[in-house]
Amino acid sequence: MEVNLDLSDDESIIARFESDIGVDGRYGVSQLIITNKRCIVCDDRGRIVNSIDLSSISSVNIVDYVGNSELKLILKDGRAMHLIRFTKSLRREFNEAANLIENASSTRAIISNQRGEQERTSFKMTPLLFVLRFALPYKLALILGIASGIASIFLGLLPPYYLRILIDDVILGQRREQLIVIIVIIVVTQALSSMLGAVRSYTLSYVSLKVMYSIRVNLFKHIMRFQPNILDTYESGRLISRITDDASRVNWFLSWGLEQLLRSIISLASVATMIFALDPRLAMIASAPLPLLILGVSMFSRKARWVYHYEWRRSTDVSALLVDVIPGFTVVKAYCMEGYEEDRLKTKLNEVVKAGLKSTILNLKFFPMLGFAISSATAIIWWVGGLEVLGGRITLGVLSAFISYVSQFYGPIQTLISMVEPMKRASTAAERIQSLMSMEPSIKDSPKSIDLDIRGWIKFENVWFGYTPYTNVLKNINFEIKPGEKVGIVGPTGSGKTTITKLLLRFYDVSRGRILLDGVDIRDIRIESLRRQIGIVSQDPRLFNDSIFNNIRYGKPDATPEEVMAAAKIALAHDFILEKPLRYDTPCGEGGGMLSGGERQRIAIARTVISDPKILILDEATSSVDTITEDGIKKALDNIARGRTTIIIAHRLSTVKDVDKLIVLDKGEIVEIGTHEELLAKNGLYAKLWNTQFQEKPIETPVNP
Amino acid sequence: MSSIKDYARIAFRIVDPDRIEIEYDKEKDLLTIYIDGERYDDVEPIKPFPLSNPYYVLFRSSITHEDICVVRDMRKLKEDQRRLLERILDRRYFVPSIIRVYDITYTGEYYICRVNTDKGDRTFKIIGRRNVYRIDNKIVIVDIDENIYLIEDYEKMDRRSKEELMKII
Ligand SMILES: Nc1ncnc2c1ncn2[C@@H]1O[C@H](COP(=O)(O)OP(=O)(O)OP(=O)(O)O)[C@@H](O)[C@H]1O
Ligand SMILES: [Mg+2]
Repeated sequence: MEVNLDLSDDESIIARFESDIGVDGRYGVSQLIITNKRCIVCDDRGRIVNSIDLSSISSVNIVDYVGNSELKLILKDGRAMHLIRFTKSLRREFNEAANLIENASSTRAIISNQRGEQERTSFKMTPLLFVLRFALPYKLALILGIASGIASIFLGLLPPYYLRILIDDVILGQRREQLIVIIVIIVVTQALSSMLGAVRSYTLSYVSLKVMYSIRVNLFKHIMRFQPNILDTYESGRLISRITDDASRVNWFLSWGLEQLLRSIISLASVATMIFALDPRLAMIASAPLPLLILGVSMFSRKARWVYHYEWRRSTDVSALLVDVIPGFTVVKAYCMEGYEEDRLKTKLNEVVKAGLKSTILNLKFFPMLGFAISSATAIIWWVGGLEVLGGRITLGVLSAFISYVSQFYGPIQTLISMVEPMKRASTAAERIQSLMSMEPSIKDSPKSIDLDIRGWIKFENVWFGYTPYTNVLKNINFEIKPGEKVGIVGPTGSGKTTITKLLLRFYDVSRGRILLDGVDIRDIRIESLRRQIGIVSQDPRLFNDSIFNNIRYGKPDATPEEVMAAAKIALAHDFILEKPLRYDTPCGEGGGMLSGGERQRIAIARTVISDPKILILDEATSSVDTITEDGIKKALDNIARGRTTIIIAHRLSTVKDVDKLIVLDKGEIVEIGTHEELLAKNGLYAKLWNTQFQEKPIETPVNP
Repeated sequence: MSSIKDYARIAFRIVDPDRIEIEYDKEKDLLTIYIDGERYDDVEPIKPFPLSNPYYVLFRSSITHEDICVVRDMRKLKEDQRRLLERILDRRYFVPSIIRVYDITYTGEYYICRVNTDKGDRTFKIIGRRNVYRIDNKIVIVDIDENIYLIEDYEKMDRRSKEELMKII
């Protein structure tokens, strides 16, 4: 769509967003163009229907209605303007547009409107060649497997040949003495063929298992090179499915698939050679149903793909429902929604039944027909061949051998055709693996990165940051923490406190400004060196499904038993651990689920403390423990935190009131910095937060003293 | 800045096994210990790592809950001392070691395990894999009544036991 925008000299386009609702309110096309000066809306023919100067906009909103949403502007003169409508499918894109307009005054770059990765199946060779590298180390075994598969095909060609000799020479020719020879040959052939089959199965299984191992290890290693921000582009579920599902699909191709493909082709070619050599006329008849077969099966598989996919999605729906409901069991019970959930499940299960029947019926429509076509061809061969034998043009042996070959003829064809689908799936999986493997982490060490022995002097200089371009979560953050200082960061939820810690650990890089550690930009410090010296207890600590001992030792793999217990003691966890039946060997359960929230937090604190970090960050680390325990932890930590730079993030202001300095954050900006007393005197946001907490909770009751 | 190492040294005093004397106070079912002649009463012996490091003993005051000292390997105590401690700990830590598995059958609800342990034969029930934990190369089984059984080293068991155990691990 060509649009004549009449851009002025210093005006440039920042982004375009295409909507799926036209200006007439029907499905169609309209476009939102954002420049560094204006917001422009065009209709499907590129005519400008609206153009607003950015300078006149006061705020941008997305208003959700049923089935569609709109981008609404509030202008500085108070007027509201309905800029553009779009369906919910484009909600995310336009959310970005809204943010972009809001921030456009401070931004100038062009963003590409990237869609999420889409699930397509199409056959491409290059991804398959790419994944072939995983099989390379096992090429000998793979070749052995394929070779024995192929050798057994050639052996399979022998029995019909001897059948001809048996009938023509031995039986009809009355040569009794040769009977035993032929029987021996057939038995030996069968024995060899079974042996080759065993070799093939073993080597291919071996290759398949080894390749699977190697794909998974390589993918995992590759993923581990990334920073947590990869989870913003790839959800963890999708990463897991790369390692599990996609790996196994590709693996199928690299071992069995490849072999089946080669075997079917060779088998087809050699059987075809044999039958054409035996009797070209009959061979033509045998090939007659081929076009029908190919057409039928490809039509079938096109149709079947949808039906199977449909069926597969029905069953995923069931598991999705279960995965959602069973862990939420407590909620279901608490709301007495058992009946409701049962009905939901029944609906989904019914759909599975219906979809299953659909695919059964589809199968029934095709396969008997194909079977019939093949048998008809065979019948014709009997008929024509019978006449030829009777007419003395060919021998009975030739006919028998021929029929026996023909039965080997259709098999590989069916295999080949039925392999199209899995091949496509393997190639799509390979494509996904290739795209992941060729993705490079955006945050990594540079050659000039240094190891730094941190003293703990932190400085944020004009730091701006957003998880997505143009949405600034942190705006112009400036502060300094001296070595050994204890600093609290407070502020309303979502104000960017945790984000500051993520930047310090370099899970993300700043968009603008810089973060200095002992005067060195953290981008110039080796990531490992940086993280080893910063200890963080995060807001929502994850423990691993292992013993308490191993979970604490995660922070220092070579810790002595005394150090583990000492760390636990600092976190006030030692006593409760000794009360567990298996003490430090007590398992924590999946994600630490066998422990209470407060216990989990204390173990997480121990895990951090044991690593002797130079900088200690506690992000709501004691939010789930009662105030008396919290106080105890604070005292014990003081003991060990003395001289260490400590950052404490807390909503419960009593937790941070006695720090050296408080940083108050609101909507990504620092609004106040000072000590508790100073900030109270200032009567700003901190004072307001303090007063509400103090009034709402005059007495904090300990839960478990 | 005190490191965790320094703190651990202060918080958990490691004593040499020959420098500790142990007496059993039968009435209180507690110990009195002497370290270099210094006397501590009402001491409770604890195995903080009963499975992963079963010979590690922590001596703790049962009154103040103070950690008095640790012995890193109780097998190195003087013979009589060790016997005394073992007898007391044995009661507190009854974790039979499974030597052989006769069979494991599934009833649809429970797995019923018939085993031979270092404390004799035993039949117990577990629900499934969540009752079985691996700690290093040890396997810990907690039955439905919360009794604990230990398999020191799966690899070292006889073939039949291993095959049976495959049903639950
Ligand atoms: N991975 C992410 N991708 C996109 N936005 C994010 C991401 N993580 C956080 N945000 C957004 O960034 C903003 C700041 O989040 P942050 O976690 O720093 O808040 P916080 O101050 O720690 O809040 P709380 O007190 O609730 O922990 C929030 O609006 C949040 O929705
Ligand atoms: Mg947070």
